[in-house]
Amino acid sequence: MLKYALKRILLLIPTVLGITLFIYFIMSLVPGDPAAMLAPQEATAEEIEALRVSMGLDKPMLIQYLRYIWNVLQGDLGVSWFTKKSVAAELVNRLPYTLTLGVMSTLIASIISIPLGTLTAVKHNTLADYVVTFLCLFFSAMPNFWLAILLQINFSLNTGWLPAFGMGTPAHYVMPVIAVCASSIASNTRSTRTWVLDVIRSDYVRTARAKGANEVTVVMKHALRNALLPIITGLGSSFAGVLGGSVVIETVFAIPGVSTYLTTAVGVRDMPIITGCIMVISIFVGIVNLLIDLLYSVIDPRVKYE
Amino acid sequence: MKKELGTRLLGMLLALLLVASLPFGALASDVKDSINIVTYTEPLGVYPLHVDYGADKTRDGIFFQQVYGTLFRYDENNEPAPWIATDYEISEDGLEWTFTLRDDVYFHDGSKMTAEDVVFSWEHAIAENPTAATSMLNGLTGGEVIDDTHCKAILSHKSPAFLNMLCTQMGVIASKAHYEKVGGAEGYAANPIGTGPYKLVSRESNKFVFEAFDKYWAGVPAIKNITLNIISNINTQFIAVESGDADVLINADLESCTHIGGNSKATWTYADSTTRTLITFGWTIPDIREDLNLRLAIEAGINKEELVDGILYGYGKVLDIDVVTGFPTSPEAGTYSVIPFDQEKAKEYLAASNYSGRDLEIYVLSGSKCEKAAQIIQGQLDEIGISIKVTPCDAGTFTAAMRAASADMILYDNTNVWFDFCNPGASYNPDIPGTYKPDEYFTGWETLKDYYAKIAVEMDPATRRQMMADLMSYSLENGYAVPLYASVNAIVYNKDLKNIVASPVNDFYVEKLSW
Repeated sequence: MLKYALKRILLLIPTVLGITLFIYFIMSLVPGDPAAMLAPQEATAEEIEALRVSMGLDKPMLIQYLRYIWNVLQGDLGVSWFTKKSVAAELVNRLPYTLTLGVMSTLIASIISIPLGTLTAVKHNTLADYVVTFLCLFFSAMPNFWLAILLQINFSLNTGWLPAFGMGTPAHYVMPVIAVCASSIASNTRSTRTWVLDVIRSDYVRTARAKGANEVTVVMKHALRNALLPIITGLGSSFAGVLGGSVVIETVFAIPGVSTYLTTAVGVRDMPIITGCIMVISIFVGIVNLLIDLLYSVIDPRVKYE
Repeated sequence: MKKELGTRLLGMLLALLLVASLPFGALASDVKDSINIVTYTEPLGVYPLHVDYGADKTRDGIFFQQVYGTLFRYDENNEPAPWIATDYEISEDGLEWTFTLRDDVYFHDGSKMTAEDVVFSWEHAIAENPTAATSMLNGLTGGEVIDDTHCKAILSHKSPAFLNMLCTQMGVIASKAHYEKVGGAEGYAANPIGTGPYKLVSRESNKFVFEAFDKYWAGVPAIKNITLNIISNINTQFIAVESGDADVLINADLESCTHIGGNSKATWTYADSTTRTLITFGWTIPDIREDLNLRLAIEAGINKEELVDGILYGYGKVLDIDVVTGFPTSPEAGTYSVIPFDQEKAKEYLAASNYSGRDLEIYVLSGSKCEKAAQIIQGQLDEIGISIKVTPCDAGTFTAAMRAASADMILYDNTNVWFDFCNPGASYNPDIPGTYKPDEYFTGWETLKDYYAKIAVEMDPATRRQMMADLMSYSLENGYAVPLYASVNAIVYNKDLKNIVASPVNDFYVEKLSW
């Protein structure tokens, strides 16, 4: 398994290189000149050209990319073209917020959705199943920014129970985590129900019941365990989604996370930030996927990694 | 029985504690000395004398006005008033300005500010930040130290707006010794110090923390601690202030302000802004450049009142010319030409034009208020037979089109950061040629340059105003731009906060506030 893990980690290198090269390529096609955006409104053509040269934008895209990678290999992610702040330092400041949000929402989503999905599978076509299914559809359909605003209005503006914005105390995480994990609880509950339902009708579950195993053992040991692989995959995807895709929640709750950092940078073509963020997000997504793959063999010993 | 007695005694004790704590509670609220401010974006110009990007007072003012000091500062009438400078004299030729400085001004590192720091700041700004200095220290070529409390500014031409310029971010005083100690502008931006009432304590990704400077020459402010929070989402900004999590929201969204109810913890105020919204034309496009009648048809076909109602909810002002009222150069009504909204006249202009019926594109920044304004204009011009296509752009495309004058029309906001419309940052400033070659495309360019050059050095206020009136008439009659409206600057604040005043140029000094 160690060999497999090392192989996967090594595979991350070309993956990250490919992704960052793709980002450079895409950004080079986008209209608009970062130097012109950066320069004061009154800047002359000569001043803008000088700025372009100082930013290295006068060089071909591939040369710019290779220079960037060379700097990264020396541990330098560069500085933001606009704020002049170190991208690495800024990522170090911001990653904990995004990671905490991702870990907490994924954990809570797992704790709620797996038992709930299993319950609705076992009790399918009962009132409990209908109620949970309705709630799942309701929260799946609800845009998370709308849920976030509703939470803010009710728990900050009307009652003053929770802080409306920012980070710092555990109370600050309550609303953002609910807003992030509501839809993933809904979707994971539905997928858990589907997978457990699929397994629960299998011959080996029927055999377990015929052998006289009690219902809890049948569900937990035979049905759920065999249904867990796709469920865990879904949760891993949710976590990866939070890393780069929680911009709305970060914006609504003024969380200084990586998603907001990346999205703001895209708006102004701040390449050092864009590439730095994408690189870090790719690495984390790669690691999470690796951990999930390794978890497969723990859940199902038949899965072997050679 | 004993149990009941014990319960009663405990109840009485708790009641006594509660009553006894009331005065302390009241005292505690009386001595509230901190404030939570919300702004929409991170101030980038933390060392205003050296910025590689566009200087933006709306964005950066909240930072540099707390941390740095200037020789002059706007008073309640928006006139430059002595601040760190106590007096000044102008030489007969108007090229040398001698300033007397306060002798009790200290930087946040405890060192005393002297004339050497003032001259260093000027010369450093000119050398390191020439584009912004061209705009905001126009005409200044250098300075001379006379003694610790006297220095001389040397100008290349007369400058009626010089005191105004000294109130801007390019007029802040930086410490020469600190600059040298921290290794230059980058080090200064990482550890900014000034002579202002507040020291920067910490700076995080979305939060700046300041504390009162105990050696501040004008006295330690009543508010001792400031937390500046960066919140870009408008809903969150308002919920933060209305819920009491924050105390002040600067640069507030006008529409949301109008929804603040009487029962809210917050209220709002506003001032007429120096931000103007206008349309400029694409001079590199032949059928726009060569068709004055088409440009005049567009001018006459826009109902600006509808724009003020639709965009500013009736709070702003219609702009007949590209100058707001209240500047030293603001012309008196009746001294300049006006092209009023007149659909019949617009149709006459259009009939006389060579308009082919093609869609004329208006470029706007996507998601901005200007996009909505462009949509209203689209409907208005459609009524007279001009087909408009609104093109919402990302910042890159918009900036490129603006610099190259390559879109049929650009609709945008332009903010004056100081009270003198002889604004060297304005579109036709002769010192700033722009990125396209206006003299090749822009008929009347030389005339405009000449107007601006004369207004920039004219010291007589009445003559300046008349020159500006003539310039505005010339600009309107030749269809160079369509001024639309002037907006307002709004501030939302906790009702218990005192002395909140909105400023036309987004000045916001926390030292003036108290609970």
